[in-house]
Order: sequence, then C-alpha cells, then structure tokens
Amino acid sequence: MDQAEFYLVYIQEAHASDGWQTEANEKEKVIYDYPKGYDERVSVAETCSTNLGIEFPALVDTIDNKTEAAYTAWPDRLYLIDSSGKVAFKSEAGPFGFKTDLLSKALESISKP
Amino acid sequence: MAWIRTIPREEAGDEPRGLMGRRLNWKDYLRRALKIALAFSLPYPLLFVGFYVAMRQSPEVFSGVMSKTSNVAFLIFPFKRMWLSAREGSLKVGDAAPEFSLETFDRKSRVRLSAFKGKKPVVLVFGSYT
Repeated sequence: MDQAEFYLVYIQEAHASDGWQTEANEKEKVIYDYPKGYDERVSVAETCSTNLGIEFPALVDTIDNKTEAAYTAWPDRLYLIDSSGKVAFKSEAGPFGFKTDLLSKALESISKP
Repeated sequence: MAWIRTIPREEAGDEPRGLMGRRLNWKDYLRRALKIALAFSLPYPLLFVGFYVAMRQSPEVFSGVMSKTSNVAFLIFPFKRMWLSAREGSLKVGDAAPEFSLETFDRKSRVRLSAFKGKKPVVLVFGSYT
C-alpha cells in the first residue's frame, strides 16, 4: 500500500435491482436500484465501503458517469497510473478481467529502481 | 408382461419415410440436416451482432437487455470473448490518464488525479456494491 495511493472509484451499479438483478445478490440481500441522484450514490458507496471493509478511500463518480466513461470501467476494472500521470496498467473488463495478481506484478515492475 | 413381444422392424413398418412414402436415404438426411443448420445459421449472426452492440451500450441499456435475456445466451455465444472485446475501451497503456476530481464518500475531501503527478503512482479500483 505504500508503493501507491489506492482509491476505490464507486461507479454505476453492476446489478441494480431495477436492471440486471442476480440471484447471488438476492441471496446476500445486496439489493439496490440505480441511484436516482448523486446523494443516493454516495449513500450506497458508503454502505459498500463499510460492509465490505474496504480499507482505502472511496471516491464517488458523478451521476453522469463521466469518469466511468473516460476509463470504460463498468462493471469493474483495475488501473495503475504511474507518477508521470500515464496509464501503466489496465486490466481487462471485469468481472473476467478483474485480476489483482496482474496489478501486483505491474506495481512491482514500476517500483523497481 | 406376456403380451409384450418383439416386432421385427420390417413388420412394424416404422422405417423413416418421406412425404411420398419413399424410404429416406442418406441424401435425404443430409438435406434435412442442411435445412436445420440453415434455419439456425441465419438468425445466429444477427443475434450475435445485436448482442455485441448491446455490450457496447451504456450500463443501463446493456443491463436492460440482459434482464430480458435467457441464460441460454451464455451457452450459445462466446460471452467472455465478446465482453472483453466490447468493453475494451480506447484508453491504452502509455496514454495520459483522464483527469478527474471526485469527492470521497464521506464528503470530507475531494481528490484530483493530477495532484499525484510527479509524486506517487495511483491505483484505481473501479466498481460498485452490486
């Protein structure tokens, strides 16, 4: 964690109850509609961060999904931005491409002197 | 069970026959197989393209499509390969990372990506609760 700043960027729901609801979420009672406004998204982001015990700060995307669109990040994705502000690692689109081991390798490679 | 007896195939008269009563040969079977293959092959590319286009739409549009789509779609289409291609995006390794300025969920601070330039790498974990 000292090698880089970590941020969760909370974006559009992957399986909202008024969209593509999944049985797994129903069983776990993770049932949320698409947020109708920014305040609602902030509230769900807070619940997510608390319930999942996420230890790094959560940033909340604007309700127009501008950051998600710029990074093609939905439903989930990993990025590493190097200290010059360039993309050093981009995972494939989640859930298939959400591979933290590849992120770890990328972090190691940019940390080498 | 004594009333059950084996009836020879010829006696039973159950050989597959065409509409004109002619016995079917291998060419007839091949013709039928081709018809079936054709019936499936015509809509498949259309559905494939439609599904791929849906994957490239906004999350709401794609989710709307998926909520009305049978799970059979996962079996008949190479879903994973289509998804990874459709959601590849234009941002490449080496590109300048798009700038953003976003609030933390507790609304106590705002983070601007460019603030880390020249200082530290940044890991962005995009996702949602659902």
